[in-house]
Parts: sequence; structure tokens; C-alpha cells
Amino acid sequence: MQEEIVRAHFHEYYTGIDAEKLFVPDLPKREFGFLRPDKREMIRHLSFYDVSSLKSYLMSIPISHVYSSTAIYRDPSNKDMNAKGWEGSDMVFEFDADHVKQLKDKPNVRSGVLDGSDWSLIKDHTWRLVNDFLLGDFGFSQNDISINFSGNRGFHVRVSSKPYLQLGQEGRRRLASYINGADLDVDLIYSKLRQRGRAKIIALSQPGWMSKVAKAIGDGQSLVEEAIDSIALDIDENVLLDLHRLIRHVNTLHASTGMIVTPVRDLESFVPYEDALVPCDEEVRIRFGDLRPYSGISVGGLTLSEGLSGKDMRVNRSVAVFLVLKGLAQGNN
Amino acid sequence: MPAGSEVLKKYPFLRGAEELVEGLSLTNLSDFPRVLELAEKKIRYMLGLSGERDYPMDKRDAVAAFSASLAMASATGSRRLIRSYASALSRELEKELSTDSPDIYEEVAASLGVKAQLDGKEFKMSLLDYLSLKGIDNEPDLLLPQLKVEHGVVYFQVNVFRKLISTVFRRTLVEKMESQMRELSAAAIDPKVKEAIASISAEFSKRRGEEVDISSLSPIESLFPPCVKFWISQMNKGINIPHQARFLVATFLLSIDMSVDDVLKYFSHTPDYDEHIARYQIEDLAGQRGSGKKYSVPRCETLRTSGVCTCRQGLCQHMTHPLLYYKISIRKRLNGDPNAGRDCAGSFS
Repeated sequence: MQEEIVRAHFHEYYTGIDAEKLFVPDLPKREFGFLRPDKREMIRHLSFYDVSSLKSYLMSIPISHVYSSTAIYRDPSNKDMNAKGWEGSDMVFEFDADHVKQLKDKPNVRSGVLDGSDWSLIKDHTWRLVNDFLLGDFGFSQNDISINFSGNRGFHVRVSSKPYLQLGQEGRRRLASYINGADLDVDLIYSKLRQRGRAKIIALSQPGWMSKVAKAIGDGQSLVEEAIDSIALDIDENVLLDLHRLIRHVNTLHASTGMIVTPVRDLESFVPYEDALVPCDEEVRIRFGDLRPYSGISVGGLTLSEGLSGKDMRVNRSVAVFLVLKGLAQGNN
Repeated sequence: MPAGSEVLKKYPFLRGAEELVEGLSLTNLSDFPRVLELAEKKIRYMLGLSGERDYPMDKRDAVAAFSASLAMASATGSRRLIRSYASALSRELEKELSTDSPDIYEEVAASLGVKAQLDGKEFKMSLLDYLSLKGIDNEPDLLLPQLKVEHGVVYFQVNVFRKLISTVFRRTLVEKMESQMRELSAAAIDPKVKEAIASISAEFSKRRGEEVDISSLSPIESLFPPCVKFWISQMNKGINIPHQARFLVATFLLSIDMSVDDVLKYFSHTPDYDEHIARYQIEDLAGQRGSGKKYSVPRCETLRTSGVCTCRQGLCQHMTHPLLYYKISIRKRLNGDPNAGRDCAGSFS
């Protein structure tokens, strides 16, 4: 029963989707990969001429995670990576709750269901990455930056800037180390900020890390290490450095949640468990499992609570698919 | 258009300089005895083999002697000598620049492919050009968080920009000389020049002492590079370590002549240890299987890129290869240095 609910959810979504929503720049030059939910084998080295052929393929395959390459290639379906003819790669900065140090040990985060404060923190990190680092320090154009909700626990920030396409791993590592503060010389910061009153001057005259730390310290109320900790961001360095990375394709469904990998235009107002659910009027009956760790978390207007544990209820099908795939409910006819 | 005489004498590698010495090679160098003399003296002085310095009188001699000295250093076939010579020349360049007006820096930098402009009291460079620079990651002062960065532009104070130029210069020289070394044919070198090269090479080896033969020593774990020690300590704690870190540890231990059985012992504490699989993999790395290819220890640059490097302090700031760290630490220990091998000691206690 529950497999049917999920299968119908995926099939109807891909049947009804406007193929244009699957568009990414240079689509025919990107490699595609598909992974079944049991994650045993990835089918990759596929390419699609246009969004219509991609849509047809999505309608024909079993439920899968859908990925496309950050790279563009002359021959994206060639199975020999060296013969693909790499022409460049977008830069992708990934924030996933299970990589964020303040969140990764929380039981609800470990089981993949985030509460409002978790989302606030991830959104804040994503916003700071875009605003402070990508736009502010690195000077990328707003037009080159896109933010996607990953469909599960985080966001992908993608920079598609032509001059940077061919930047190699060494250069990308420097960007990663800048954002996560790994190359920071703490002694140097101490020596510059030691004198009283210097922080204000440096905050204005030394844009970059020095200014960020000076502003965070203010009048000496915060320690340098604390300031650095509050500024550095836990991006997944491996994602940025991997020139051949496959990442979730926009507007496909995440096979572990049934939610849409959603382009985000207004990060502040974006509510993942509302805005990334597939719009659907149908209701299905489910039986809730143990919801105690998730009390207060709202999914598609349904607030999970301890009192619902073990109960049967008819809920919106997108909500049902999310709860079933997360193991928080079972389909119940 | 080559620069003026005095400028070229100081910076004989500027754009257009080579036009002045077209046709000069190790085959015909002895036809230009003054150039040969200048080149030989320059190498000897820079390597600390002689205290005598000889200054060329005109720009043609300066450029020719510089170019010939690089070719002669390459012809020694010694990477150690090449690197020492490049380091000495880059130190000299930094010193020369410090006595000059920053106005000249732009031209010097441009000759090395570094695009930057003087902007008031600082130099500025586009972020993309900065990110594309090679081989600057061993210099903490040149790393992005230490620099002024705003809207895609990186700013350097004059002294930091000097450091940047000399660092890029060193790398450029090493690449150039190593490439010349690969392409050189001994038969094409004039006998008189060959004699001078052999003499420099012999004196350099004598001065520096014989290379430490690490395969003849028992492994000294306390002198292993910090990254290898760190990943071994993680395995000893029963932690599964990343693939790249396993590759580092295994290739390092094999390259200091440890047996496959001894290397296996290091991996036996990890939770996912399977002796059959591990033995197969280590034998493969040792070149005992399949194609017979023996895998090399990754360079520091690769380790940093893959996130396996764990230390950027002390000796590690200047390291290019984990084996070099080990060799230097052994030499330091033999010379009685109590701090040998103690960089980043806190990270693997």
C-alpha cells in the first residue's frame, strides 16, 4: 500500500511537470546520474538532448534520486571520464544540516527531520554565505548565483560564472578555506587587534576576514576565537573541490522525502516543509509511528505531536509520502 | 621592447630579455667565455660555494649569464641543487625589489604572469587571477584570509606583494629548470661547460653532505611527518580514516622500505579492517600486483587539496613532500636537534 502511494506520487509529479522547469544552462552538455533509494547502484554517464527527453526518461524509470553534473563536457555520456572532454564546472557550496557543527548531533537532525530553529540556522548560514562571502568578498554577480533547497536537509548554492568555470581544485580549495576559516592566521589577527580602539579602524579599512573579526569583537566583548567561530561556515569542501560532482537536479523529487529540489528566490520566507511539498489535493490514510522526537514540527500544515503517535489519520498525500519515506508513518488502507 | 640597461641587470628575466640572447645554449656557451665565467660565478655565489661575486657590466651579459646559469643548474641533473638555486635567486629578487620603487613591481610581476596594479599604497589583483596563481599555499602571509578582499579584488601591502613575486619567481624557476633538465641531452653540452657543471655539482654535494639514505635506517616513527603521524594516531584510536589518508600512510610506509606485513599492522586497528582486502591493496600500492606500478607518496600540494594535510606550522610551512620532511627531520636529529619531528605535536597525542 505505502509503496503504491509513493509510486503514484512520483509518477503523477513527473507526468504533470512542465518540462521547462527541468531546464539548467547547457543541459545537453551535462552528465546525468540516477540512484535508486536503496543506493546500491548509480546509473550514470547519461545525457539528454533537451528537457522533453529528460522528462520522458523520468516518467519511465522507477523512483530514483536524480543528479546532473556541475561540469559541462563535450561528450557527457562517454563512460571514460578522461574522454568526456571537460569544459568547466560550476561552483557548488552545499549546506546540509548533518554537516553543520551546531546541528549534526541533534537526534531529530540525525534522523533527517528538522525543526524550525534548525532551518533558521541553516538559512542564516546560507544567507551569510551568499551575502557576506559570495557577493561581498568574492564579488560574484547576483545573476550568477542560484539557491536550491536540496529536497531534504539543506541548501545548494550554485555559482555559474563563466570566468570561473575552469578554475581548478587549487583555486577552489582557497575559496573553501577562506569560507571555513581554515587558512586563518589567528596570531596575526591577535597582533593587529591587540591595541585598544584598533578594532573599529580595522573594521572599516581591512575588508575581508580581518574586518569581519573586528566587527564581531566590537569593543572587546567577544573573544577572537568565538568571533571566528561565529563567522566561519561549515561548507562541504569535497563538493566544491570535486570538478565532476553530480548534484541533485532542480525540480526533481528527492527519493528519501518526496519533496521537490526547489529553486529558492526568497530565502527568508522559504519554508521547506511547506514550499517544497508537491501541490496535491488528494488525501490518504496513514498510521503514525513514534512522533515523540518530532513534536512541534509542522509538515504541510500538520503539526506532529506525541499525541498522534500510533493513530490513524487521513492526510494530504505529499505529507503522507514525506512521513512514510522518513519512517514516521505507514500507509494504511 | 626590452627594459633599460640598469633594470635588466637587476631583473634579467623581464619580458623581452631573452631576445637579447637568442641562439645561446650549452652547446656554444664556451664561445662566450665572459658569459660562462659570469654564469658559473653566479651559481657558485648563490649556492654558497664561493664568496666571490662578479657583476656584469652590460645588460646583454647580465641576461645571458642569468639564462646560462639556469641551463647549467639544470644540467647538473640534481633536483636539490635546482631548488636551492631557485630559492637563492628568489631571496635575491625580494631583496632587490625592496631597494626599488614599487613602480617597477608591476612589470616584474607581469613577466612572471602575475597580473596586478599599483593602487595607491597597495597592489590589487582580481580574485580570479589570485585563485589561479600556482604554488603560493606554503606562505601563510599570502593566503586569502590574511589579505584584504572586497568585491572580487584582492589587495596586497607592498611587502606582501614582494613576497608574492618572489614566491612565484621561485616556482617558475624550478619548473623551467626541471623542464630543461628533462629535455637536456648530455651529448649536446660543450666539454668545457660540462667540466664547470661537474665541478659545481661535486662541490654542492660535498657542501650539503650526502643525501640521507632513509631505506638504510629503521623507521623512526617520531620523525614521521605530522600528517602521517596524525592519521596513524586516528587508526590507533579505532577510527576509520578517509581513503586519501590511507593512501598517504601506506605509500609513505612502503617508500621508507617497510614490508607489506609491517605496513598492514598499522591498519589492523581500524573498525573496517579486513586483512585479505588490505593486503591486496597494499601489495598493489607496493607494485607487487597487476601492472607492477609502484605508487608514489602524494606531494604536500595534493594532500592539502584533498584535505589530508594536517599541519601548516614549523617545517611544514616550507614542505613540498612528506618524504622530504622525514629526511630533514632525520638529518636534524642526527645533528642533535631536540625539536626534530615535533611540528604540530599536539594534534596526534
